[in-house]
Amino acid sequence: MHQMTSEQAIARLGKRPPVAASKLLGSEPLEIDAARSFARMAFLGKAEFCTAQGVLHGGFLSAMMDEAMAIAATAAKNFDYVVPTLEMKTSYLAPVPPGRLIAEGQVVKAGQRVVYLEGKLFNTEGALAATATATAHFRKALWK
Amino acid sequence: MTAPLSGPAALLRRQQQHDRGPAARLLGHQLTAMDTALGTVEVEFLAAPHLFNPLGMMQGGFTAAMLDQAMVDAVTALTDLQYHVVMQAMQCNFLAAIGPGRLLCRASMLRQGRSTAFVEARLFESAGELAATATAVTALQPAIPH
Repeated sequence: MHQMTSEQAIARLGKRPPVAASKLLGSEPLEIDAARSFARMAFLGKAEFCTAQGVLHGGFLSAMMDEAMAIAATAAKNFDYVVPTLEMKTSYLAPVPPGRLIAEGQVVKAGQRVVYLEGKLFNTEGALAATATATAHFRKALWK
Repeated sequence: MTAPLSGPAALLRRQQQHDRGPAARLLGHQLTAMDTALGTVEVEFLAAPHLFNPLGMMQGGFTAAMLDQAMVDAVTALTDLQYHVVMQAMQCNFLAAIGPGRLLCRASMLRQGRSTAFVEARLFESAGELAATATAVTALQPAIPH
């Protein structure tokens, strides 16, 4: 099969129905490499995602990495599937102040039904601030 | 002015008044019960459309956010607000899809050390079915005066 360019993949992703969770996170695809099963996304770490200490709530960083990993997984299968997460482990390396953040998702191994994933989250300075691994499964998308 | 509460009710009230910031509000967070003897807290969340994925179910990341918040709550409450509790690492299992509704999360502190605490949580969807579980390691830092 002819591999999509990153621009084609991002355009393909944009044809999916709007996703509330992605909108909330200010999700924006920067690079989708279907051949490498890799996605790099920008997210908005908003003030409303913060704890009382004024840093981003870890769960929202998980949500960002979850999304980047899901995009990487769906890119590996031409965006024909959705990928509900079965389990995820997150390590929070440092507190993350609000701002524009980058998350990367990478497929480690995609089987017929199960996919193993890695995620990374970088703060506004570009320093690695959180990491994740996840296991998800492919489910046929409800749209074409 | 109501009469001042005492005992467990006062303890719970104090924990409920502790400011958790805007992220908890976005998740519809509410601490509803705590049992210091069992080392357990109960927290309610609201699964609402702004947290949903293309399947109309909660995006796993937000499920993780709820488990995260409940586990931090458990350690914060059961150490009586002595520490600023920071999540270090957590692992979540997503057992079932979560649709819209009020969710119950039960979180238990398993072991408190000098500078870390181990904690686990179970999240039940609105019909009462177990939908997600988590375990975590948290850091106990000296509390910011409040």
